[in-house]
Amino acid sequence: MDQIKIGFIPLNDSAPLIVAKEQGFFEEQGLDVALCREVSWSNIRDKLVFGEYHAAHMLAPMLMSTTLGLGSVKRPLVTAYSFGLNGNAISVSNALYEEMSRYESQLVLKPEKSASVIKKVIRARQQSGAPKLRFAVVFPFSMHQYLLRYWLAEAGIDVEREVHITVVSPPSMVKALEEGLIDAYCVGEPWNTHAVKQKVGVTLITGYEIWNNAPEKVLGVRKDWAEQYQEIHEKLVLALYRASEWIDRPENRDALTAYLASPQYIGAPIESIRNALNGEVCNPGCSTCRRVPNFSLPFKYLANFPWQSHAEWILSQMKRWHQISEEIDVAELAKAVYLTDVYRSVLEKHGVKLPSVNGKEEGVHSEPWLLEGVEVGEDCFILVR
Amino acid sequence: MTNAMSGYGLIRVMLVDKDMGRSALLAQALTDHGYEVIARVEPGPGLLSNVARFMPDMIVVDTESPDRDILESMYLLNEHNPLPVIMFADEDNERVIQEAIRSGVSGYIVRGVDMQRVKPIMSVAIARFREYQALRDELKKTKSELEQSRLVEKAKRLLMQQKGVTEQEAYEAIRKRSMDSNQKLYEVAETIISVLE
Repeated sequence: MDQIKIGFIPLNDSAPLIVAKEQGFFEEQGLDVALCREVSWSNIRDKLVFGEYHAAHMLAPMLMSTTLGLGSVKRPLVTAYSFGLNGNAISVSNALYEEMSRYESQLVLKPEKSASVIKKVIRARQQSGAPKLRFAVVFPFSMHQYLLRYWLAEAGIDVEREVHITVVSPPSMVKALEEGLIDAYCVGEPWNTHAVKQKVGVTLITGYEIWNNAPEKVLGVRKDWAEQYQEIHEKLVLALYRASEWIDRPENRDALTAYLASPQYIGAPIESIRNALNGEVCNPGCSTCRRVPNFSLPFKYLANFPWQSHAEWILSQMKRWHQISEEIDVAELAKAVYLTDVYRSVLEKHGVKLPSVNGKEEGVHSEPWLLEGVEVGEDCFILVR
Repeated sequence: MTNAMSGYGLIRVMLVDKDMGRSALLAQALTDHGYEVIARVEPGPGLLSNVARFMPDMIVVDTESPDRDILESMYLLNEHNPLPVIMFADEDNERVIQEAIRSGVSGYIVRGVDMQRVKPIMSVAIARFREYQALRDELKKTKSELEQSRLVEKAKRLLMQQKGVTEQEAYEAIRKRSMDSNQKLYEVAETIISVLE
């Protein structure tokens, strides 16, 4: 194979690809990689399925939907590397924020209350005959879809009946909110902070606060490709691991931000990109940025470890929202798509200490904890107040 | 709608393309082939409301449109009746999809429309997208050839003015440098311009 083509969407969490390319981690592995910026997740999926791309920056749930042939050609996809944890957030239009403020002041500082206030707005709108609230997510099969639904449902909102959920691609989100085509959205950074800085919206809650240290993007490859080019696949995983390690070092933050901001990668202003990397949720006045240190986790707490228990949660949500049949064997499918063993074998060869298990109990740890002597992050779900 | 679903009548096609010139050409080609193009729209977050308004049997979309993902959400929606689904979700059509994706076009159809009847529409779309691309490449090439000869002319003029040589001598000098340095004529011209201008 001469050149490896990898598709990505302009988002902060595409950083490991950009850094591996710019800092020479791909080259170190003898890989010649071309990064191809894409405009839609559908294009990424189709080009990967039909061999235009060898690998791709993908929404973790897309691997399951494509493996099952939901809304696309059926083709088994696999992953052995996670781009990191968390990184998305829910933002609302200025108008909706104002509507919410009638029930609760200073909502930017009370993420745990945001969903129950949305519920009050929904009930008031029902009374007055106002239209349903319109939410956008980035793809039908995305963590954004499941985290948004989880958050709304926890507050007692009937997601199927009481709101509209539509799809808008990440770079178009801010425009859609500005044009009043949607009232709120769940998207990855920098597109929440960007909306705030453009004075188009207000960020209510981060994904981290809905599910602590949730999975997000993964390196998707075709199963047959992973088998045929096992060695190249392993080198990709190692190069990306090195990049994630580099990203995590505070002294590299400025260089990272500059890479991401450049037009061939994300092409958003440095100011919009920086906050999430620094663990800050921006407020409209920007005077009282809220600290959420784990807003995005590129490396710490085994952030790149492809947990099969993450895949199982995703599949359980696909069942919950009737995207897949009850018959599907969740554990079996999670095992087929998440090549945790491949990740472990690649990294252990380089002296990285990893747990011997492929899954962990989710939703029970409220503090970082030790798994076989390795530090793992908390994994609790939101309790709506 | 009922016509298309029962297998009779024209399939009502909606084109989504950010290049309205290309979509006009495709619309004409489809009409010439006896298909009905009911709407040509530009992509944008309002795409779903256009789908609801025109209720097409089939949507042909340019894959460079950033809003293609919006169409994927139709897979989940019940309120836009009849429910459209992504085209070619069956493996018999893989070759067509692959060609379509390479050509920068994709399609979605309403559930129930016969795949065999929409295949020719995709073939026309693929052919038109390719022709259009070839046309654009050709234009780009012509433009850059013009640009290159303009650079050489300019370098010649500068040499004539500043070195007092004839046009023939100036050209020979550029040509010789080009051969010696294994650079294209216009590349040498660029260097000369940057030095003399």
